[in-house]
Amino acid sequence: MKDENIIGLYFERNEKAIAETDKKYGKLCFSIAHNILQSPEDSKECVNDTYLHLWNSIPPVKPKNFPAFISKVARFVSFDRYDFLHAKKRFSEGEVPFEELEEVLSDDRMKKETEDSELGEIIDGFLRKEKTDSRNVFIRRYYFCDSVSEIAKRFAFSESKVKSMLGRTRKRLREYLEKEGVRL
Amino acid sequence: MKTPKIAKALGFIGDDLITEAMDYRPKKKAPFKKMLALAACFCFISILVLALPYISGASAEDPDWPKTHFETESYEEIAAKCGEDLLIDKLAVKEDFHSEYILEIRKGGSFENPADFIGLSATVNYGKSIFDSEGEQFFCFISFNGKADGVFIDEYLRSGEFETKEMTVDGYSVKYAEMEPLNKINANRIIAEFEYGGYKYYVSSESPNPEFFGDMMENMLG
Repeated sequence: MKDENIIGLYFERNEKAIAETDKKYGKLCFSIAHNILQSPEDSKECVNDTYLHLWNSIPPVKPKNFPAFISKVARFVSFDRYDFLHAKKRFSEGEVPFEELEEVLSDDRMKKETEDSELGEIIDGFLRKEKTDSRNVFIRRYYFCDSVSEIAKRFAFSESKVKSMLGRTRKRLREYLEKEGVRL
Repeated sequence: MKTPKIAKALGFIGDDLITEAMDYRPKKKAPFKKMLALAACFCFISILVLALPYISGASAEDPDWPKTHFETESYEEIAAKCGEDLLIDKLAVKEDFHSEYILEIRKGGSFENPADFIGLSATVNYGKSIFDSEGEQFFCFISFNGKADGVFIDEYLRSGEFETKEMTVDGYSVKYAEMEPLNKINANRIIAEFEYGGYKYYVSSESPNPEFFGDMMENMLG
């Protein structure tokens, strides 16, 4: 089913919307959640929470890019659960590359009162100036939280090349954020 | 560790960037496209038959990286460690280029002891930088221990997903396959493997020029 038709079902408050979303984007949601949580059970719960969030937000929201919208919701829901589990000490550190990201900008090095959305826009500006390969490798790693080996396979690069590209992009982003005054 | 703000902030990048990263996967060239390309380039086929490979890249970022990897942009420096008979001096075929060489050794090994060598990656880019994805580029991984861990050229060539072909350059047999290009500029993307000097070579090339791969193989092995 086309995305606009699925969104139409949400607007009609037709519960088939969830089934169609699951059919088309269930794997995407699970993959994002699992990359972050490393637990099938928690990931399944996150996928369900994602659908609930979609159900509650559409309408009034009418996503222009449905898969991107879903991925953002799945990501936020999964990070919330990650933090919850972490606070409860029910979480073992998995593949999530937080340390690599903190190398770019740790919370304590971030300029006070910087909103996530503001930082996101700055990173967006940076990524648009990057070469296509570097940008996509970066987004696969730090947005979708793919492992290095998954990225290498997807792009037909060696793992060491992926690591190298990521390292260089992180370095450029760190410098960019300093220049933008976000990184102190 | 709690989710850092930068991780959450990444959720605010543009939808188009997300779908771009979501959609891309290397694919086998469509047969009709291949036929068209072959027809259009018929006069070059004889040259292509004499030609060859293309490669990928290397480097890394883990705590032990500096202990197990020697990275340089200088051919002289890498030749001083690995010797001069590895063909990598033949990768630079134009005056202006960027190069990067990475020698990987086993953990606890020495960069001075060839017995510890695992592999050598050499990347040459004729664009604006070593990572200019739109620049004509050639990558070569030389496996010193016979393994190709993390070098997906090997995996792709054996996957059956891509039509592999063979060619001979000066007595050396080269197995290669065309892949879907990563961008519109470098429309000719080829991966290949061959043996030279007792080592396995994995190469990849990206170029707008359909003859580039063949020329590079001729230059290396001819």
